[in-house]
Amino acid sequence: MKITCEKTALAVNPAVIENKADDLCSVDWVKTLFDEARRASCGKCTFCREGTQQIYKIIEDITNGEGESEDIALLTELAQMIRGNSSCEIARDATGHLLTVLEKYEDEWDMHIKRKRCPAVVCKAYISVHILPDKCQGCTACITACPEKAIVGGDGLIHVIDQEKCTRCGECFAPCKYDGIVKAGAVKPKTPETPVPVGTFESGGNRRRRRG
Amino acid sequence: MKKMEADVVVIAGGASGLAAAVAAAEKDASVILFEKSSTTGGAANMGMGPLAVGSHYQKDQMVDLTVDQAFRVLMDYTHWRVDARLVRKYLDLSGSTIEWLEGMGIEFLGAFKYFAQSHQTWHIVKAFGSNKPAERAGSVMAKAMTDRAEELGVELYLQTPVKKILTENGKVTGVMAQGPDGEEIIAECSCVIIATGGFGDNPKMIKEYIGYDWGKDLFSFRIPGVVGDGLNMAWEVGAGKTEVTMEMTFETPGITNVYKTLSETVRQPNLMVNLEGKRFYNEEFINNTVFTGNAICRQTQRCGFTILGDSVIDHYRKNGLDYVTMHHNIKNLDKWDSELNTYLSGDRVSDDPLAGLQQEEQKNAHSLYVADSLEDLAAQAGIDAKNLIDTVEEYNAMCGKQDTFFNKNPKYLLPIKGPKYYAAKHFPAGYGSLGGIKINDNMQVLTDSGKAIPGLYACGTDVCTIFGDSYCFILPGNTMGFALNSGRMAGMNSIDYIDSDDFVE
Amino acid sequence: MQKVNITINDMKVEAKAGQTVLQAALDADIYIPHLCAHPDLTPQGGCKLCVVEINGVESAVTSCTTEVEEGMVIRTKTDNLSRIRGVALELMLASHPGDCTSCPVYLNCELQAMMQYLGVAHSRLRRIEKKNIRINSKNPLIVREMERCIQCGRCIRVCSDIREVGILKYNQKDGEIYVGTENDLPFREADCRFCGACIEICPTGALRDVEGTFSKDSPREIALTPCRDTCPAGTDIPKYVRLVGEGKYSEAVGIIREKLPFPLSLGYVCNHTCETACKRSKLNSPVGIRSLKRFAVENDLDGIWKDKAMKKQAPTGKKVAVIGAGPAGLTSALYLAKKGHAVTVYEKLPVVGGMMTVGIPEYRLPREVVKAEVAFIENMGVEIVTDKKIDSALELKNSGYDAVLIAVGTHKGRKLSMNLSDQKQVYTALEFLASTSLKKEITLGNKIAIIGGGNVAFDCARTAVRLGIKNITVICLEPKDAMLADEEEVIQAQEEGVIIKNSKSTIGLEGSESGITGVKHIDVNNFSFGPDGQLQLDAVEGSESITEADTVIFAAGQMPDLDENFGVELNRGNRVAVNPETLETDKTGIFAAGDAIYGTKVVIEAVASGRKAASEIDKYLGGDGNISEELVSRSVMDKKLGKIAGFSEQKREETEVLEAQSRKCSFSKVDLGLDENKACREAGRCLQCDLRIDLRKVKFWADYKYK
Ligand SMILES: Cc1cc2nc3c(=O)[nH]c(=O)nc-3n(C[C@H](O)[C@H](O)[C@H](O)COP(=O)(O)OP(=O)(O)OC[C@H]3O[C@@H](n4cnc5c(N)ncnc54)[C@H](O)[C@@H]3O)c2cc1C
Ligand code: SF4
Ligand code: SF4
Ligand code: FES
Repeated sequence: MKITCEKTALAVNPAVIENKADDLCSVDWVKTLFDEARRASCGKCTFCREGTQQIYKIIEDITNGEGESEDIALLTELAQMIRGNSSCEIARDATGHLLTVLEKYEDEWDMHIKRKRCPAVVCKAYISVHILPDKCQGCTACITACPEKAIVGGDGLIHVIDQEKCTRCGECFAPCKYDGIVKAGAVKPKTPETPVPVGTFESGGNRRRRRG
Repeated sequence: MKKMEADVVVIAGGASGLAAAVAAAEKDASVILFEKSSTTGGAANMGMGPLAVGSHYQKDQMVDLTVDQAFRVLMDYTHWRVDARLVRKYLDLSGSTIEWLEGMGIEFLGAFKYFAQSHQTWHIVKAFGSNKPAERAGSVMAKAMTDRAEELGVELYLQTPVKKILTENGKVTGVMAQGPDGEEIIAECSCVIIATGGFGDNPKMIKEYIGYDWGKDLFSFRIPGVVGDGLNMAWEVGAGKTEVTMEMTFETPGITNVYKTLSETVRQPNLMVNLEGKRFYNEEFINNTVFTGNAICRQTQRCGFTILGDSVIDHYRKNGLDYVTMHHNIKNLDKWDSELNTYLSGDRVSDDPLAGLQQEEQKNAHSLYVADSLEDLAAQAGIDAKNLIDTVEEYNAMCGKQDTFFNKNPKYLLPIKGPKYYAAKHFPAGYGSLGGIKINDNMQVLTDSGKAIPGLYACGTDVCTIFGDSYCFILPGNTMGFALNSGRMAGMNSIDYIDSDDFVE
Repeated sequence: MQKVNITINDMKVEAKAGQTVLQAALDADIYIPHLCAHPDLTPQGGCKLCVVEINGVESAVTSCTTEVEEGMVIRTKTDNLSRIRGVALELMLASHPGDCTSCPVYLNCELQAMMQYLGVAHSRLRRIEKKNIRINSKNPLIVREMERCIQCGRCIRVCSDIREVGILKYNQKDGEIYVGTENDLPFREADCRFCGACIEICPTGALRDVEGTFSKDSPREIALTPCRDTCPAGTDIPKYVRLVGEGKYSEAVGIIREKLPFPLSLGYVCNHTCETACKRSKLNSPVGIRSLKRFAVENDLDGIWKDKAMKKQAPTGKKVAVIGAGPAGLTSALYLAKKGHAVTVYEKLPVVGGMMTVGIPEYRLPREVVKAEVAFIENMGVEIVTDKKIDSALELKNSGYDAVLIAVGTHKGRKLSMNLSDQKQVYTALEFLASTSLKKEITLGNKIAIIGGGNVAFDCARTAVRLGIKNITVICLEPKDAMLADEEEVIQAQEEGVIIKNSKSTIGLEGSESGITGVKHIDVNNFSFGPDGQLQLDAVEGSESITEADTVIFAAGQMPDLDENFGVELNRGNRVAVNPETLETDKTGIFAAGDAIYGTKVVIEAVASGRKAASEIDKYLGGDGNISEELVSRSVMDKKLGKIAGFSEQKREETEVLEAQSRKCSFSKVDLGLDENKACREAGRCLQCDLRIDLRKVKFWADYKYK
């Protein structure tokens, strides 16, 4: 007379979060964890089925700029409740990790919720992608890689990303052989507004010099 | 057949019936309560809280509305066409009713307004774990009142509809009810209190007494089982009739409550016209759903249209919506395109999770039209094309200047331009019926000639005629407030009557 | 059963060994909130609302999955438990519609009542909008508004564990869990058996019967089986259909016999309103109930119902006279005899059975069938006097009877009033049918025109075919697509060579004193009946034409053959006026039933009317009026249905019918019935609508003593 779940454990490595690297966002990490958990739930138990879904949704909001100040308390309450009462390991595991993270990285969560920032520059709502004018060689590789056609430029020109179109998917990073594309959080690098010939951009201003 | 006996029988366990039962039982009366459905609370389960004036919450929140002032507001609103004695007694009692309810274990979040221009009379019940107003919070109250009733010894019978009020020589002697297994029950008693909540779920009576065709020119709420039992039983034993009204509002059938973004967008203060293609309303007040509903009722075929163009839509995409309701809380047009596509895809109900929740009549209603020109829009919606074009032209000309006709606030004058044009068709809607049984200010049921029927009382929506022709939204919480207080009065008065010299066995 | 002593909230409770804590509490009238548990289902322990605290156990446990143990001390109400329940309900509500006012189960909904009980109105949680809930949710019998589903899994368990159909499951898509079928197949394709158990067991408004499936006027248990609900005699159809499927034909007949004494006759000719109402017709076509009834009777070898059916109460010493040996009169006579009264039936004709013998043609209802069924009634002590016409019911009553029943039927045919209609070779349908049935001489020509378009007209036409007449025309007012007669009758008549002229109004007869030569008619576009029942025609000017005929039969309705000398008040059309409640006429002790009170209807209506009359007369004579009987004890129904591939599409088994050529020349029966294989398959198509009544009802919090 007990619920039997087919899945018993999540494929996470808690060690990653114990000693997390600077570019690992604990909010994003838990979000992924709960996405996995909600997909692993067998559906029979409210705390696991609705609980993982709800927590996923709250964290998603937090990574999207829609977090609210009561969310941390709410998440803690939910996590404790689920950990204490759900029928299976999956939900208990996931909520256990959530509680650890909430305690250990409270500041990082606060940054997301109150200041709408992701210190690890991971959560897409809080970052932008830029092409560094001093690195770009105008090779056009990134233009072809961008699924949103958000990059403008041409042979020999410094490429520019249209921030309205960019979805911060990151597809353009790898094709750039010059490490010219970067993510930015609160502080954004200076870039030209429209493409200019390679070598002509001065970070002091946005003057154009014409040759000859 | 089963026989029972009590001082008082209360017919139905909604807000007013529960209040009546508790009030009577608090006076040491034996009370039987028959309820047709499986649980108590009736329509009050859907509400959030009652009106009160002079409660300690209002004092704490420094709301300085006195009973005198509230009385004047309501009487001005109704032009003294309602029972002033009843209104006064109701308002006088309302403040203490809050404490009375608190004594049963009900907590309130405080006193609230319904919208900016309204008074702060709405006492919203606190629900589990939440410090925000919550839909359906009224159900918490229903539970507490039921518990209190049973604690006082009220016998509660669920799934037991009363079928008939029994009288002898014009005096109430009991009721006949039917138990869950179909067994007939005769309950003898000295007083009967009717509290059955009107006839919102009875299209035939709506047609007969209010004159609307449900599903055609009216799309009001239908609480299952609220079919006018109390009214019919009272009339059967000689009760007089009053005019019956409805708390009118308006709705866009098939869209309201289903396509939230579409619905909220067509409820912004934009041009409204009737079938003749003419303006009939200062659209600035569209968020006053009662007034809007009233204005729509007066138009040909009881409908009105909100006319939009892509120009307006683009404006909202950029700036967000003008009016945001507490109810839906839609602020922007993020979902406009996807909802519109779903709606127009033909199979209007297939995708949207909430679309299935409507009655057939609502699902099948076509009430949003999209066209490439105003001519085409008029043709689709059945509006007079020439007038519509003229009206839009005039309206656009006023934009950026002044509404020279209704003097609408200029900030809501948005020009209507294509490429696409939209028309949303609104119809009257409402909460249910109001009134029907003639009573006096002691909640005693009267014959047509004004004589009280000994032992017969009625309360709640079945007798609520204190709003005149329109719901008094400026004192929010009024329907539930009246239900609770009138129920309380009926309960107390019925026992006073049994204890008085007028009462003969 | 071994007893276990436990304590719940300081109350001593005696539980049964093996019971769950939840069940023990509920049995003791102590409410513990619960949603996913149901008394008929294996507990799932999922909703978590039933949590309790047990001394010695560290954390809260779900009471629906915990067995009672001797000495257990249980608490059902603590702050901690309220918090757990509150959050669980909040989680469920996060994806539930925010408003109940559009929900038909509002106020009869376990979830909504739970919100009251727990004080959880709304959630401070994020709204979850599930997207996959509407996949293939439409089907003709079950409304599935899955946005109201709380995934308690009760439907899944009833479908798999109790019905063993097992088409429902928790599905996963896009990170959402919803209740659906394998591969999201529509219910029909998923081989749903449409038993309605999931609807019955769902605590919310998520699963419901399609609006209009059931009548709202009947008590729910009856209304759930529309066939039984519409049968005028209230035959327990699903029970006997199930018995036929199990090969228990004699038991099946017992069930039928509980309500009517003409099972085989009705197996031939009943107009089967039950089939029209059959829920299965919404899937494809209705269950062939009438053929199954006939099959059961024809294969009833044991007559196991007989002993009980032959039981009679002690003689009361009262005498009852019944006028008319048709189904109404005979049914009434049988039940009155069983109640101990001495019953004599007077019949003016030399034969018994009323219209079943002289109206309904022999090729549709073999005469020996009726005879045998009447013989049973005679065996029960009913005396039948034939060839005895009664001229006054009042005189009959005064001649020494305590009560009299008038059941004379409608035996006077109507002719349209027009010239020449009283000529020879112009007959009413009844004159024609009765003389054929009674083998009396009747002069007919070679060309017969029959005026009328109902079943009676076709009975005349097809009888004429069998008398060897080649040229037969049915002239009727209704257009082809709106004929009053059954489709089957029309088709078979055409196969037999009958010509049908539609949309024609007869305006006169042609010929002279020496003989009829034809029927004159005019084409009509449209017709209707005015407020007083008079016909209003929209005829096509100048479209008069003539159908040649030397013999004309009016099949234009019939009425009781009575006049004022009969001694009771008559209504319009000679119908006997009765009090609808008691069936008593204006004369005390004289009752009436059957066609005589409401005009020509059908056998089963006459049977029902006869039953009612018997009950009322018994009451009048001082009895209790109770004529209900149980001839076959109801065994526990097999709750299991099992999955059958292609169940929804299973075609109706049709009976074997004689070829037109061979049936034309004789009066032998046309419909040969079903064979055993077909009958078994047909019975298997039944949706068993009555089965869901076996599921126990859930009580709401307010119903418990301690809550
Ligand atoms: C041609 C035809 C086809 C039909 N086909 C069908 C069908 O397929 N299925 C179906 O369900 N129904 C059918 N019906 C209808 C059905 O037969 C009748 O509704 C049913 O028989 C009525 O029963 P009853 O007992 O009220 O009257 P009847 O069956 O008419 O019985 C009344 C009896 O009373 C006798 N009687 C009359 N007056 C006196 C008197 N003064 N003294 C003594 N006895 C008297 C009559 O002779 C008759 O025997 C058909 C009817 C007709 C005419
Ligand atoms: S299922 Fe119950 S709780 Fe949900 S909307 Fe319907 S009545 Fe309300
Ligand atoms: S449909 Fe009803 S029974 Fe099935 S899981 Fe949903 S709520 Fe439970
Ligand atoms: S009733 Fe026990 S967990 Fe749902």
